[in-house]
Amino acid sequence: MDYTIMEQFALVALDGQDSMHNTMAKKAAVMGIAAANVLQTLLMEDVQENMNEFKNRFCHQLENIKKMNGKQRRSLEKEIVSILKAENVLEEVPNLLGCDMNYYTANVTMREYKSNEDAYQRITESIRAVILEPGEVTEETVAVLWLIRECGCMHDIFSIEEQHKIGARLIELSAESQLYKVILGQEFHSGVRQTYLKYLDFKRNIFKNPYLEGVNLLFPFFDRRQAIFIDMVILGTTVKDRRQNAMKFLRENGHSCEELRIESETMVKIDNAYYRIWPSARSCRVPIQGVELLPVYR
Amino acid sequence: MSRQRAMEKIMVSEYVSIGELVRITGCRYSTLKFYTEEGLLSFEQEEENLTRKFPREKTMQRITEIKELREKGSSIPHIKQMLEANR
Repeated sequence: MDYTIMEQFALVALDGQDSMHNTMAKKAAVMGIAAANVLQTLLMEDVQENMNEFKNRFCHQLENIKKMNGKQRRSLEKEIVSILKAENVLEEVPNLLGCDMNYYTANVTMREYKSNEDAYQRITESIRAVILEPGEVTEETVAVLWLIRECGCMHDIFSIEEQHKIGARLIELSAESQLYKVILGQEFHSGVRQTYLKYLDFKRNIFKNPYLEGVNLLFPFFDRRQAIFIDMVILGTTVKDRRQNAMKFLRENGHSCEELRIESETMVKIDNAYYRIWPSARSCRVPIQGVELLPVYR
Repeated sequence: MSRQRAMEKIMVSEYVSIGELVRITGCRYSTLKFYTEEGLLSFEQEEENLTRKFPREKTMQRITEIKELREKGSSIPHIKQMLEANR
């Protein structure tokens, strides 16, 4: 199936976002969706033949996006979510953090958006293929990459090394094409939001650092990809049994799980993210046995 | 500067890029790149910095074969040997 620029970006940016509450990351994603809509309309109109007119219209409409209020953002979010739900590529599932022992036993209801795995993989992997391979880069790829970069989602798709390569490639593309230069040079977030997105980047880098990944274990709500602990009865069970049990519990709570053998380690793919899993215990009055799940970043 | 081709067009074209292969097969880019580096998928490339073009039908068939063999538990070196023997 072919997805528009707006749909492609929405599937990447909304995946794993809190569907019930307004978070800063979701605000950035929704504004990105508005920018995607503007850009795809301009590209379809073939306005780029007159680059000055394209730039003026594009900048003017992005200025309007900067001024979007909460009501407009919520209405746009509802609209894009209903389109994607009708296409069966987006659904609302219980938030993974809701499966953590502390949240689950406290009856906390949390929900998040989940993009269809196949659609998500096709979109992200085709972007990776086009930008990381030698050869021509399509307008759609540049547009989606720009949106992903502006909304701080680069970490979701590319490793740090790949991000360096892409940065250099985008500079090359800007030098080669006036259209790409105009697109890649624009911003649609206010100063405050830009600062917050930089903070999100910084925070993500902390969680990516293997020496500091324990931060996510202690404060899982800090990151979109949360570390969780699932408790279970372990009498007479093996490590494999615990893993299977945890996956069964997650499936019952609306998540898709798949076991992946990577070298000597078995990881679990939950929705569109990869997790390391190991048997563990929480110290309360008596030790509570279970498994710990920690996100693995690219 | 070019536009992304629609699925309908890709499905009737003789050659496809690796990005288009990802879209039509649903395979990961890194997987296809690995198969290419291992010589399991053949391609044409006019110059080093130009797009690699894969013959669509032949490549899709090859990817299906590899997927089936992987599901049966064969390793990549074994698959490589088998495919070379069948040539």
